[in-house]
Amino acid sequence: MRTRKFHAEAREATSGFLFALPVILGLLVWVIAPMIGVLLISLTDWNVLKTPNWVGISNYVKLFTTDLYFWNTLKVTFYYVVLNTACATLYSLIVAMLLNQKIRGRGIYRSIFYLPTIVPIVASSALWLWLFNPDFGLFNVMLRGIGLHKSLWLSSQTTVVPSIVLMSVWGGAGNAIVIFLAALQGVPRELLEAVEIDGGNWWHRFRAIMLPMISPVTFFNVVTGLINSFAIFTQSYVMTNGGPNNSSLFYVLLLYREGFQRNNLGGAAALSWVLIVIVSILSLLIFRTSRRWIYYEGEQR
Amino acid sequence: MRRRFFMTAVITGAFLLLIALSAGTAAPVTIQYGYWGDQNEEISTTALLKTFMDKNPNIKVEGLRFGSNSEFNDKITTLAASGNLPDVSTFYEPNVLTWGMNGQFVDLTDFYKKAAPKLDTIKFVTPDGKIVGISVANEIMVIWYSKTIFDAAKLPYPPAEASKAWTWNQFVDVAKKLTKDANGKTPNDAGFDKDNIKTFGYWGQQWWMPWLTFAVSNGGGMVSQDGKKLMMADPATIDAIQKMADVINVHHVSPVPGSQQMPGAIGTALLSGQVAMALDGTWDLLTLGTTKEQQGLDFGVGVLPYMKKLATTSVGTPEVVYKSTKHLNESLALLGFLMDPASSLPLLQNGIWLPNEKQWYTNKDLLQKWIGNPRHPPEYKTAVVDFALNYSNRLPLYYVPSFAKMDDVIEAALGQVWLGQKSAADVIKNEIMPKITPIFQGK
Repeated sequence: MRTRKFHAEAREATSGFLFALPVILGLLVWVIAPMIGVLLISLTDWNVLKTPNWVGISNYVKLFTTDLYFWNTLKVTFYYVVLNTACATLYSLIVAMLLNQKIRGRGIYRSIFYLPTIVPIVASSALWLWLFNPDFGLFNVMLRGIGLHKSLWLSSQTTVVPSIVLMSVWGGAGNAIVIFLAALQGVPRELLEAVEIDGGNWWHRFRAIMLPMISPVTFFNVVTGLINSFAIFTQSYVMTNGGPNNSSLFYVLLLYREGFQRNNLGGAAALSWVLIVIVSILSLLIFRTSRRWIYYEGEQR
Repeated sequence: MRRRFFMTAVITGAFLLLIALSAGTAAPVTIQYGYWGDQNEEISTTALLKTFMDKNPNIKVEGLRFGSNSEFNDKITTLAASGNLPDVSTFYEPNVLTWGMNGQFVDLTDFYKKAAPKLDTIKFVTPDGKIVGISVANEIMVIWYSKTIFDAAKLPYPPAEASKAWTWNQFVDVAKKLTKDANGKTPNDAGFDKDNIKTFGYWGQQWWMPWLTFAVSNGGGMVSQDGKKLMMADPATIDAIQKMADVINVHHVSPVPGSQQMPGAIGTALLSGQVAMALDGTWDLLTLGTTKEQQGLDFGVGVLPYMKKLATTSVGTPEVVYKSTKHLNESLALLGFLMDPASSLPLLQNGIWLPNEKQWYTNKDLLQKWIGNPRHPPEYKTAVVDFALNYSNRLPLYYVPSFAKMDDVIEAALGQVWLGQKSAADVIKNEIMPKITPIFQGK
């Protein structure tokens, strides 16, 4: 029966829908539609220069069987992702804990640690290239100064990924630090004091109270860190071009090269979708295993 | 009612008259020219286009600048996909032939038959014989060196004439005498500390131009000039690459390859005494000349050393005309203008370009126009002009469509050779050849 209440509810529902419409449209037009478009391209042999032909899943098959770079790229990217996420999470947690203390000039220190995040990556890549120079760069000068052997940094297959991780952690940890800081400040004071009264030191405080209390935030930083690490591109594009010997040929760099320099858009599109699947599976795994170690306040365990 | 009809008729009539009048005058044709470069190049290119437009009042040229050659690559691909290609543009060299073979460029063979003869080493020719572009400039490899360091070591400068060119061994000997570690010792002295070198004898690079140049000098190469035979595994090629790697790891006169070199670094490197010589392209004259004028760098230029025969190679970005252009005649007019060295005289004079036409190397009056200025050192004529004219070779870039894909494999694998981890023979025979042979054969 069309009561006044029904009309009012219907009007509310309609206006709610209308308010949400821009976001929904945006998602459809700028995210969903291109993703479907890329999927369709990946099923063709399009190279921009001639009309595309349907080739079914042959681009995907080629990737996994005959492609010269795919498996190496996966290996190298995974290595970077794991190393970078671990180092970045550890680093930002430690720095956040240090910045959480009541020291003078706390605000200045916090700004300093956040600054690297706003330096443009291309500019800082140019600078770090000089720092890493095996013969004249500052890092090797410092190493020599304290009596250590010089490192080849970006010029050696074994040290190139750790070098890029060093640079990424310096430049990208700012956001994670801020978020960890907020979480640390949300830890209830009385719990920490309870540990002190019971005779525990800072390690007990950390392990028994702080770590569990910030575990949801740790989880967030790990997941976003992982997803962002997969997108590593600029540093290898500007500094190493995938070398030496493809040991820094990261996934997105390969994708870019295939699509825009070798005009193999079908193959590049296939690479994109494989990446989507990999990152989705990884995120799913982390979500599944998260219940074991994340503690949400108020839960009974 | 009648009044309204009358007014409508007058207005419509006036309107139609206006249309008829404007249709009578010829509208200028607008074409788009794409190019990459920084702000300085934007200024010089805009001036160039303005000169063209002054000479051709019925053609209007819109300049479309890309930030760099890699940005050019992304954008031109996108423009091709959306059907918005410019009419004329420079082009990313490794992709010229693949695009040409896919029918993207106008066949310029007939056009160039009527123009002044261009150098043969810089013509992009598809396997079926079509010229799809010619480099707008001819850049070769030479030795740049710091006169200050040579004077301090009391050694004669690198030769500036082909007849006096050093052999590779003579070159390495000189480099050894100039390499100094933190204690002032050279690789010839006992107690030389190879991990603490302050000055390197020479700075080389490891992209395709240097090693291809020396492979050719040694009697080898990557692909035969007729495009049919893969020469990468020839003993001469392997030997050349090994010699270049030994300079780094055995003789210690050249630095370990840093990743991507920064532009402008050669001026700093020579000025600060990090290196005594550099084997690099003629485009460096712009940087070195500026460093000399602003910071007093005393530099000179010499001919390359040779392994078995005198050789250098040429590169240069081409100008292409897109098949999709709607104004072919106007585009060809712009092409002719851009390809004429007389149009780009400022760029020839400031040292960044060499001309693409033979007569500009041989005719005394034309020569004076571009090298008769303080920017060009006195030995430039013999060390660069004559050397380029007589000893330059055509790189596979210009006639092998699969060059870029093969170089992806080669550049990556050779990294191990430059670091001294593996021998050139091992890497080329076992890692490179199996991968590039199918690519070369088009599979």
